Amino acid sequence: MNRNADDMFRTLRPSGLDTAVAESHARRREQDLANALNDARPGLAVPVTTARRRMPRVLIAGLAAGAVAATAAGVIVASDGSGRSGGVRPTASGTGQALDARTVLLASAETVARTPATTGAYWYVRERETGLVQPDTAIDKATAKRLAAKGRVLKSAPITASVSKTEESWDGRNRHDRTITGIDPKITFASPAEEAKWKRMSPAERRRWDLDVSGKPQVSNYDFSKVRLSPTQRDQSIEQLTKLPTDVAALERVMRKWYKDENQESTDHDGVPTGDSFALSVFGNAQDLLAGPLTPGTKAALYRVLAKQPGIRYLGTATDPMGRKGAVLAMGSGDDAQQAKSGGEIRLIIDPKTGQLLAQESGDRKAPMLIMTYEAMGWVKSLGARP
Amino acid sequence: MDDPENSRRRFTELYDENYRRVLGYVITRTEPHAAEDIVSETFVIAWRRLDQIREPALPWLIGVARNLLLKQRDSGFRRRALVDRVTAMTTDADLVAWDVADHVVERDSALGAIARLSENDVEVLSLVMWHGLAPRDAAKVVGCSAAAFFVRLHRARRRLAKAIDNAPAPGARRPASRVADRATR
Repeated sequence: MNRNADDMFRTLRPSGLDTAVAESHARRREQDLANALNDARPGLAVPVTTARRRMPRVLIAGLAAGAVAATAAGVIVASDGSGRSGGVRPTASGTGQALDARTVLLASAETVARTPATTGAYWYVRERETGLVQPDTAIDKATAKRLAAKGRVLKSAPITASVSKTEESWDGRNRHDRTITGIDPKITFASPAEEAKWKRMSPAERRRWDLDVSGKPQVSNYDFSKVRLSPTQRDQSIEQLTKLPTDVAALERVMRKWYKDENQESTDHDGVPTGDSFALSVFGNAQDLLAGPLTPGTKAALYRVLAKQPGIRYLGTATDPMGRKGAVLAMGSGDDAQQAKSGGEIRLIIDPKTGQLLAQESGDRKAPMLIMTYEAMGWVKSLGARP
Repeated sequence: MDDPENSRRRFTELYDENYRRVLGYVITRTEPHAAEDIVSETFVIAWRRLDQIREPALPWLIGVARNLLLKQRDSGFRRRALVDRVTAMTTDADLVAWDVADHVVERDSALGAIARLSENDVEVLSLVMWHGLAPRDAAKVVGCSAAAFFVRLHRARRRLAKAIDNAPAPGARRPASRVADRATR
């Protein structure tokens, strides 16, 4: 008997869905294209949904572009064969036993507070994203074979590989932004056999599973200066992020307001709050804020707010994909190894000597689903300039 | 992107590449005709905002379609929408697939278990497991951070497992084979 709940959920997907949508595509295509192409393009306006996710650029650092991993996989299961993705590797060092997350966070607060403040017109970030694409391990081979015999096609990536791409972004105080996405695409395989399979895939198939690395970098310019923002979006614009409080209690009040707004928004949309704790909301926001244009004083306050939150774990030291050494802090909705294994854990690697965020990753510790490495960040004077 | 011909070409590609997956999402939440209209409207909006759509476009498109859906209905109605749609779309092939997969509970019981989950949980699970979105892209659809989405997904999976555990086992209330049951009707 198959007791896997995920597997059951997948099986409930109606098999007629693919046929229905293909038929609809053929039937509606001509009319839909005519409708849209005859519609005037007013240009400037950005739909609320885009603005909501797009405007707090630093709050969605890395979300914006590039290939994304594990298209159909909802769960990462550790496997030795897929551990080539170059994630951070926490090691229980001798000193690691004595330290805890709070100590590491307070040390980071102390050092970052001593960093000289800088400023500029555009906040620049260069980040490398590595995503793991792998077959859906929740469906075992025997089941797959039986379903295939009944004409059911399984929707799962055919190979295991890691895809990396770099993105550069400039976010202006004037809300003019630029991104260059798809820089230096690279794919690595779990084995030569996987590589051989990839070579036999068609370009369309590679694109489908985010395994395509043939594209050229794409430059996009954005003008968000006339977009109306919600109060939270205003709080999180580049200009406002530089003005966040440097006082711990004041910063915590701001973050509690964001937490309340997040829950309100979720309630408005779905009828229920997010279900996340305040601590998790702080950790999730910190993940993004630390890649943003906070003043040294605000960063120090943020580390101190983090130090007050329960549930953050110190996993020891590790080197990031660029070989920089840092401390690994982790959080998820549970506190055990099972949590890490099931993909619900988020890890930040920070350098306590500078208070800088070096990288972050999610998913299995041996084979992370996603790794973001912050290669460079800082203020610049003009679009296209680099620190 | 200013060249009209380039824009038209890009839009047509966008439509052809994404139509099925956007409709696949919407059609599991509303009636087929309404679903097709929502997808049409989504692409009209996509055409107007073409310059602002970044690759991958799918999360953006599903996000727009989702907002249009949300405008249409209140959350109490949405709660059961997915289960109702799955029931309406169920064919013999689905019943066979369920039996072949040898699941520990009846298909109807599993659907019942899903009906008891929150709309939030069902959406998170279906975006990843049915619609093939990577969790980070799915986060963009629902408008939360990737970090928050990973946690939501983890919790939804835990609650799904619990709901399935509590569902009646085969034979508890119904004949062992749903296919046979259906065939004799």
